[in-house]
Amino acid sequence: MDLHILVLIGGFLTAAGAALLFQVPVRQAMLCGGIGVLASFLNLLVSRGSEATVLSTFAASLLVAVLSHAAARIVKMPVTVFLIPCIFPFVPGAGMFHIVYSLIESRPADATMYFFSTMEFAGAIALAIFTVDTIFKKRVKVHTKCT
Amino acid sequence: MQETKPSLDVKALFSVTLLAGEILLSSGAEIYRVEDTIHRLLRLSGIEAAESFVTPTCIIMTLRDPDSDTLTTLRRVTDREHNLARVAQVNKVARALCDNKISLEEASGTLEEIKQSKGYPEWAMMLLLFFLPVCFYMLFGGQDIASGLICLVTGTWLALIRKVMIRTSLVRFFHDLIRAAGVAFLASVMTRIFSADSNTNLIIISSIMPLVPGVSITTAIRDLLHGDYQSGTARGVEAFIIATAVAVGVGAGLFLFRMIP
Repeated sequence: MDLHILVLIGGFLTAAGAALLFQVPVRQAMLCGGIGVLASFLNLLVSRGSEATVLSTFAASLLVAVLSHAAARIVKMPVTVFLIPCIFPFVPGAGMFHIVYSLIESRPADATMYFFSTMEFAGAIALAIFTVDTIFKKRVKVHTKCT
Repeated sequence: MQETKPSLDVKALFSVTLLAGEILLSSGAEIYRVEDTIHRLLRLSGIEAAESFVTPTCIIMTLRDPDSDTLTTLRRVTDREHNLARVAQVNKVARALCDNKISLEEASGTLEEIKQSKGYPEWAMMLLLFFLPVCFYMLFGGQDIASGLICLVTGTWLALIRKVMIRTSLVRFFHDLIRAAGVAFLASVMTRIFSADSNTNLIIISSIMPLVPGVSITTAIRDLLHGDYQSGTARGVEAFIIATAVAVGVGAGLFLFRMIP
């Protein structure tokens, strides 16, 4: 249980830290941290407290995207301000490390496996963001209007 | 559609638009946001024939005025870094301009200020880099205190190397490579010295998280799904290059560690 609280604190600090690293103002960075806590909680819940799976990453990214769009509407700022820092903790850095590590240990089969799982994680995140983008449909079709 | 406003100086509007687009693109805004902003601003001139083409490295925009000359410009954008505060500020200015709340001169002045703004001081960035690895370590379920302290050591490396790297004009590839190599090497050495049972892999993964191009990968796929194939592939390749640099760096660091008897 203590471990899970640590994970949630980590979720807050990484999202808020990433926000500050990307020069987001302090108040919005705290909001990013809040979204980070909720997303890492969902991540834990779906993966049943163990390592993140593709499904749990998808769920967490979906939540991040929805909350980012909501936050962007409330404080009247572009969605990117919230989306990029909050997605940051969930990107598949571990997968990338395992690809290289397997190669160094001369296990090319494992490297291939990790390569595909990394692509799955990245794809899950992108799909989640894109789904929510489509629902909110902020994009204005400028090209059709201007010709 | 808006009526033609004779009071609006088309050339001034054109340069303000270019400035806004340039700041947005160099601060890491999405392609469609840049194109959308450019279109909205150019349409203020009342001229319908406004086109823009934006890739992650350049902006091309043109305004065809039937009564006078055609204005076209190309702006190359070389340095790109994520500065989301600038994106938000430019967005605000553009909105105010579209709603006729501020004049073109005011907008131009504000945009220049935004372009010059420095953001957080350097020591704050270094402090962040110092603490980020241990935060990621907690997020990934690490609970060993000794390993957490080793994460602080790798964080120190990330912070110090940032200070050194800013002065040298090294290619980004080697910059990432050296940072990742140092992280992998330090983590391995410290684990051997202090606690044999702590999880080196987890420490290294936590420490390279600030370096990996996860955001670029995600934005690349997003751009591709939006139909911006130019920028999608460009960002994808950028992500791939950074990932390769980090990976080769980690590999080099681990290899170096194996050389120690």
